Amino acid sequence: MLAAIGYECPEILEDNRKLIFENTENGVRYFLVKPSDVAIYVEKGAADIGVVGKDILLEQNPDLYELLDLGFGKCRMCVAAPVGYREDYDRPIKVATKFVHIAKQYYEGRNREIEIIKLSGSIEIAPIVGLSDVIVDIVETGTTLRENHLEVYEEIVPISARLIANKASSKFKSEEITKIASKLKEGIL
Amino acid sequence: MNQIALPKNMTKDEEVYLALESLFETYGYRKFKMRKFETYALYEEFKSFLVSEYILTFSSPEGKLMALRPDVTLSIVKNTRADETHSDKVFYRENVYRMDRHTKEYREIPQAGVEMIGKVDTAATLEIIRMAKQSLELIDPVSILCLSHMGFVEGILEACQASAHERTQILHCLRTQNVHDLYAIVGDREPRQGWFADLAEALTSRGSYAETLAISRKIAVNSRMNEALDELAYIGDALSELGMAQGIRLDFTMQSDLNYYNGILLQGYVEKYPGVVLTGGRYDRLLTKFQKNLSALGFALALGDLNSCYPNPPEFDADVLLLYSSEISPVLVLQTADALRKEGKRVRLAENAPKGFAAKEIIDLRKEVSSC
Repeated sequence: MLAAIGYECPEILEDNRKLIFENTENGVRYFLVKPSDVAIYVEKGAADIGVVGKDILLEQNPDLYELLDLGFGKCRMCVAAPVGYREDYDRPIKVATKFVHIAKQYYEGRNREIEIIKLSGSIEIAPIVGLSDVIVDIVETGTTLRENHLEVYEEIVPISARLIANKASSKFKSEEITKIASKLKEGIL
Repeated sequence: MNQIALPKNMTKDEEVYLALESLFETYGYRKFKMRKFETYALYEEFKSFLVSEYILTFSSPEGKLMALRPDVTLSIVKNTRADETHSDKVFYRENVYRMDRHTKEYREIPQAGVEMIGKVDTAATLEIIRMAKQSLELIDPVSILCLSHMGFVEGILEACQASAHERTQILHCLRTQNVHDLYAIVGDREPRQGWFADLAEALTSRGSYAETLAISRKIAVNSRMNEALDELAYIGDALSELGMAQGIRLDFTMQSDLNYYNGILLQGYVEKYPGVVLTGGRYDRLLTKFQKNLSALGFALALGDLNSCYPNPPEFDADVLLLYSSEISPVLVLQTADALRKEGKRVRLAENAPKGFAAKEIIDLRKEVSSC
C-alpha cells in the first residue's frame, strides 16, 4: 500500500534479516517490529506513523492519533466458549485471555464480575481443560475454534489494521503525514 | 553582595527551570512552595482529576494515611489566598510521583507551572496563553501551542445526542482523531448531511488558527459550539493584534475531564519531545467542588524527559586537572589551583587522574616540582 503511494523501499523485498529499511530518495525509513510494539514506537516518537491492529490499540490505549481504518487484517474480538456453554450468573466468569484490558472493559460495561486468567498463547485450551469458562480472543475464520470444539459466544468488537501517528510528529510534520493519510484513503475508497 | 555564579554544566531541565522562574517572575507571579506529601483523603476525593489513579501512600506516626503528591494543582487550589475580589497568581517547581503507564513503576517527575485563581478575564487568559507560548520557546524555539475549548467539545457531544456510555467512546474518538469509529457509533444521528465529513476536516486540520476556526464554524450546530468559537475568535484576533499568532493553532482533539474543566484548554509541543510537554486549561468546576465560587486557569510543563530529548553532556568535567603528590606543599597546591580559578577555570585536584575524567588541560605539579 505504501509503495503504491510513492513510498516504496525495494530493500524490504530482499531476503535478509534486517529490521530497518531505508530509502533515502523518498525520505522514508521502515522499522519491522512486533505487532504489539508498533504503538510504543509511535507513541514514544521513534516512528512518526505506524500500521497496527485495532486489538493492540484497544488493549494498550496509547496516546496517539488513529488516522485511518486501512480495511485489511479484518477479524473480530470475541468471547468464545465450549459448544453449548451456558453462563452461570451465580458466580464470576473465569476468562482466559491475552487481552486483559479489553476483557475487563467489556465485562465492566456489562456490570459482570470476572476472574481474569492471563495467558500468552494457545488460549483455546483453557476452557477445554477447565482452566476457564470462556476465552476472549481474536477470531478470523473460526477454524481454530471449531477444531477445539469452541464457538463464538459473543462478539466484542470488529478488528482491522489502522494507520496511527505520533501526536507531536502530526504537529511538526503535518504536511507529510496528511499527504500519506490522504493518499492511503484514496486507495481504500 | 557577591554575585552567585551559575554552574557551567547545566542539564536541559535545570536550564529551562531557571529560565521559566525568571519568566514567571516578570509577570508578577509568586513562588508557591509545598510539602512533598498531603493527606491521602485529598487525592481520594479527586481521584478522577489525577493523571494516574495510583498513588504512593504511607502512614504518618499518628496513623494518618498520607500520600506522596501526585499532583500540584489540588494543593494550590486547597491553599489559595484568592477570594472574589483578590486573585492569586502563583508558579511552582515541584516533583510529582506517578505511575508510569508503560513500566507500571512509580516515577518522580519534575514539573513547573503557573496557576491563576480568582477572576479569570480575557486579559488574564491572554496573559496565560502568552506565558505558555513563551515557556515552550524557552525549551525549543520550534514549538507549537494548541488551543481548544471544552464548550466546543461538549457541543459536539450534544450535537451527537450521545448517551452517557457513548460520551466516553466519542471523547476517545475525538482524542485520537478517529472519525471512522465515531461515525460507526453515532453515524445514524448526523445533525445534517455531510456534518461528519466537516467534523473530520476540523479535527484533522493542520492549518493556521484562523483557517481551523473557519472550518469549525461549519460544524457549529448549537449555542455551546458557537459561544466557544466566538471566544476563540476573540482570543485569535487579540493574539494577532499582540503579534503572538505565530505557532499557535486550534486543535479540537484535545480535551480534559468534563467534571473539572470548562473553557479554554492548552497543549504544547516542542520539536524534539515526542509527546505533550505542556498541558493546561480553565478549571472553574474543580474550584466549585472545593466550595469556592472562583475561576481558575493554569498550565504545567513536564520537565522529566527533557534531558534525554535535549542531551547536553559536558565536553569536559573541568578545565584543568591539577595533579600533585604528598611530597608537594599543600599550600602550593591550593595556591596554584586558586590562581587558575581566578582566571575563571574549573580546577580539579587529584593525586592520580580519575577514571573517565575529561579535562581540557592537565597540569602535573609532580613533574614541575621534581624538575626544579
